[in-house]
Amino acid sequence: MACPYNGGILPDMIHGMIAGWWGWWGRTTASPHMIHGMAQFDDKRNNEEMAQMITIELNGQQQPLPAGSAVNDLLSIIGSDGKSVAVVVNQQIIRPENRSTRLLQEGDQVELLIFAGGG
Amino acid sequence: MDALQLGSYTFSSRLILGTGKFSNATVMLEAVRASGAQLITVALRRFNREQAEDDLFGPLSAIEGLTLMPNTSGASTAAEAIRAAHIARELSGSPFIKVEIHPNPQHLMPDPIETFEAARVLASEGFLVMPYITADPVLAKRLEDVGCASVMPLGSAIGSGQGVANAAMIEIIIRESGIPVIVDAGLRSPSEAAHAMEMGCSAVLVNSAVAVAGNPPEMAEAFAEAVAAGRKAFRAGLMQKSGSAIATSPLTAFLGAKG
Repeated sequence: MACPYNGGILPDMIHGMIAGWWGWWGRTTASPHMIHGMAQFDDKRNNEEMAQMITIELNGQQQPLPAGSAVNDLLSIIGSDGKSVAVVVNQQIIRPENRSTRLLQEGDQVELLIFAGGG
Repeated sequence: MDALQLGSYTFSSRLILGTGKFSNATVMLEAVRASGAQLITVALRRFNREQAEDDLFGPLSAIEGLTLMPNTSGASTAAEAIRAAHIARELSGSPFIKVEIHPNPQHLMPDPIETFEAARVLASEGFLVMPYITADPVLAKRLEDVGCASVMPLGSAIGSGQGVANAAMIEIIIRESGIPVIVDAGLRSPSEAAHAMEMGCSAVLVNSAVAVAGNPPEMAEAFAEAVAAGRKAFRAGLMQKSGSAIATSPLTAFLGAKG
């Protein structure tokens, strides 16, 4: 049974958890009523989770993020140790010592920049 | 030691190497090592998790004795260049900035007005400003007056390999400048780098000629030797040119004498 929630704005990790949980129910419960009831519960939970998500613009592209995330959380999610990355939020440089306390808000424009080859 | 002095920084190598256009990072790093260059240019780019190998900060930082000089490539206005410089300094910790503002991607000629404004602001903020400019003696002098650490006139268009196409203008800049003059862009061969150094340039900046060579590390080494040879020749003092032949052997008359 396919997970009714196809990811959308949720991060892969959360989506994977939901998909796994849904698949387990699909295999172990055959009752259509139960499935219907669980789907309603699932929708409610998804709505709550979605309400706790924000969307920022990361290097020009939409990026979902749990509400309350700091810059360091964003770096972790995208797999950067942050050591060789400059972070700019809404045109303001965020220094490394401030990345754990600088919370990101809905619609923030974030640029992550590195040094690449250039003459 | 015949060192290159830029601000408070001293470099024994007068070859500055760019890191763009190499086939891969491994080759680039080999070329950097082979060149002996101590000042290396890099560019800012957006992080892309799918192209982690593009991030050169870590690999370059691992090479002892290197100083990074970020450029502002991509900027088309002074404001953009200043913003890029601030971000670059945050990342590199280096005061060096190559101010490079070219609004037209077709010819990549630097905008003198925006370059001057960016250089003026950044120099006042304590950056060691290295502006990439056309070979304009008036502009070069104005940039010196606002506190640039050097001026970097182009030999010819970026990546063109046309060599030092404007030697006469660069000679004027050298003659009138109180700060190092560094030929940047257009060099194709080590002999052209040697020529620039013989003219009295303080250093040369090379990228494409090394990056796209058949053997980049070997070419980097060749440029390093040429730069050193050109500098040595300049210091030794070149002979004056003459419009006519001047004999190197004694023209005594004994062979024609009738005995």
